[in-house]
Amino acid sequence: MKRMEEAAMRQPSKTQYNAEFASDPALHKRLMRLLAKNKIDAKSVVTTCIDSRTLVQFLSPKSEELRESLKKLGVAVREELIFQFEMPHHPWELHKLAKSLADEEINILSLYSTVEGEQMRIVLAVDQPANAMAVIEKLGFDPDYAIFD
Amino acid sequence: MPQANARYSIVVKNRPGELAKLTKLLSDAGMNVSGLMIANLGDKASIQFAMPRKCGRRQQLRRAGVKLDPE
Repeated sequence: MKRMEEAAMRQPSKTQYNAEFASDPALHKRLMRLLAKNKIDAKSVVTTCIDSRTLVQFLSPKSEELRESLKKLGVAVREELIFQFEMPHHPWELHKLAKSLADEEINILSLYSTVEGEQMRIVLAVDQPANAMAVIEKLGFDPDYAIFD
Repeated sequence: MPQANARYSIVVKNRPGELAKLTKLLSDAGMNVSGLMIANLGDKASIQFAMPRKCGRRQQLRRAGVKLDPE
């Protein structure tokens, strides 16, 4: 629990921005130009389309200026607190994590993972961050708000 | 040479427990993902996962009970 409190006290290094809009290639192009102008790391940009809606997610240090620029483009902007941790890369471990969050009625807002050797690094945003960090810590992992590239 | 991955996706309701349903099917079948991504859009969520490319993988996933999005 102490580690979780220490981690929670640290300033989040990055915010996840979610820009949502009715699918439109021209708007998507303008958005990509804006991200390039703001030097957003292309590795952190993910685009998802469901039905006729498009969601572009990316990581950036929190910036009111960026938020305003996004709103001026005409996209709906949502910011999410993200944190990361590492866990063994095994199907049962991933299921233990997903089930533990579900048992606490915690909804996953977004998740990315990368595999590095025997470890899987998870970057997660949820609707109840404090509860999720407690759950993850109980599983024996070490969640942290500091996000590294 | 590293093994190539293939990406698969499913669309589920945006609510707690949907990822757990997928991971249960995959872990019961002994299948491990090499990458995972979830994004929520309104009342739906997209779960995309990567696995080493293998002939018959889609059929294997369907047999495990995973309802994949059409290609």
